[in-house]
Amino acid sequence: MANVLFVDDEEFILLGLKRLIKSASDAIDAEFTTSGKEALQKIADKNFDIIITDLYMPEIDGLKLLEFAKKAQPNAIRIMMTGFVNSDLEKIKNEFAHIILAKPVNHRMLLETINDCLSKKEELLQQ
Amino acid sequence: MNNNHTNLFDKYKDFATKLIVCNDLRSLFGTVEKLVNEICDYEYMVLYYYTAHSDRLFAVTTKGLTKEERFIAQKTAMQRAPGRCLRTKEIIYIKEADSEAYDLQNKFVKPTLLNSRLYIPLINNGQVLGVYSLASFRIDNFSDKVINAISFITNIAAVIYKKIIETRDLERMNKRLEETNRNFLSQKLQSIGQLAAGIAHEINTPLQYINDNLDFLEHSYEALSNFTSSIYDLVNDWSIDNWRNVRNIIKKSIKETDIDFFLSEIPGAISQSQEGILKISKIINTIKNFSQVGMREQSFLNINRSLEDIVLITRNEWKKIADVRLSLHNDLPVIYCYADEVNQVLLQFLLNSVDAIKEKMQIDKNYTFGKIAISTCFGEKEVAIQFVDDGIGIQERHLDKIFDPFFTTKPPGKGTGQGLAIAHNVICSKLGGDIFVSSNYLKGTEFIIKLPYE
Repeated sequence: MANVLFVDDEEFILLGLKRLIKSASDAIDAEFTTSGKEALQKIADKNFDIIITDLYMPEIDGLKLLEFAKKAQPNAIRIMMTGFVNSDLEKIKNEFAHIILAKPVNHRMLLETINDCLSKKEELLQQ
Repeated sequence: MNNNHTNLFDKYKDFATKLIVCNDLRSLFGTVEKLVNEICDYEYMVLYYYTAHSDRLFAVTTKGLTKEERFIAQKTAMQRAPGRCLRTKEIIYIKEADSEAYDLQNKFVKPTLLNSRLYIPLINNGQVLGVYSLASFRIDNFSDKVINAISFITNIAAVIYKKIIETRDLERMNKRLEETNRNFLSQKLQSIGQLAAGIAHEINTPLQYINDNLDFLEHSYEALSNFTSSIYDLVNDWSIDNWRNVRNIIKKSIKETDIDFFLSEIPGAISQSQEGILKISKIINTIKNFSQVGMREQSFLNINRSLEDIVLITRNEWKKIADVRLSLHNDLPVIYCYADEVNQVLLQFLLNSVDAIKEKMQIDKNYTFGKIAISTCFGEKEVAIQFVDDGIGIQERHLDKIFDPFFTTKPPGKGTGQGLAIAHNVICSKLGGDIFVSSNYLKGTEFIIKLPYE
């Protein structure tokens, strides 16, 4: 069972993901939040295998969140999921995230990525 | 016609031919000088050009004067003979300068030496363009015949002069117009470019959840069809006689296929996807309105609609840093204009406010969320659009420059300084409207745009 945290300030995105994950896989135990603050709390309280976050969010954005996660949970795989195509993705990948997914991400891709994260966790963490 | 007359006629014809071919001021002045030199000798020449709005004579070209003398001649021209010539529109000929008291005031032109002075008004269509003046050491240097000839030359020159100036002004105006149009286009493309990333994000967000919801619906179909076939199986199973047992089988199937979860989630998945598709098509329609480059036809524009569109396509620029509030007057009259121009200008005002808020955030740590208010109203003749923000504001010393082309306080590469210049050109010059600005540095800015309607 993979513990995954999804963070996105767009409620509809989270609702869509929630439906999808629940209907598509029994192997994922997912938590969802639209608030960066709540996400920080969750990361502080509970261990996750994978943390997937949006980039631009009010107050606490994806970078701040991943920076915190990097320290608080160094063993979690960090994924940035963003609709921005021209952000400085290279830098984000080097410093904050193990993987970057460009929205829209289809569910096969998402599930595959989650599976890969679990099977190649050690490899990814060493990056 | 005797020989003398024929000669004179040929001479005048020659003057006219030589003057007419001049197509710039340099060659015109040169030709006048050459022709006058053929007719008579003189020591000093000044050609004055008259500008009505400052009521002054300017020495456009001179001969024989030092720089200082030229300056003095120009400075005192209106008070001396040139001014008199200008006002009376008549040729003034002073045979012996010493006898003319008013001219003695001018020490720098060596009055005792310059005995003959000639002032000829340059008249075009009854309007005096300037004064042509000659001076000589000799007493009574210019005969009637010479004066007539010079007057002929200068009168033709005046006509040519006017033509050259008008052509030049027209060319300049065309060039400026062309430049403004080019700037407008590049400004428009720039703001589309700036918005493109944000627009992509705005579209990608609904695409993400539409995608997820469709995948979910696919799974839902599988679950529902599994459940349905388990019911069919029961219905077709004639061996069943215990209905209590049937109920248990169905209950089990409900649980296994998680049918309640799907039934409760399907309506949301459908309605949210529909909402997302609506959002995308709205964005695409708006971009279509904005990207119509060179749609050169005037039409009636609903400013309220434009503002709503602009707020929609810029959402990604401000949603994390500011609140944009629209308060639009319902019965706002439409404006007859080039829609793309006005849309571009309104967009620019909103983007300026967003930039002002971002700038303030950089220097004020306590300022985390800005406010932009856009409202419309109208009076008897004009529609007014108001943009208010609580951003960085404009420094007082910059206020009178903000509409100048290329004026910008942004670092190189960030702003072209074209936004407000174009806004001014479109609103004030093209549509006969007005832009009012009031700003407090560090507090915020208010722009009011007034546009006349029919």
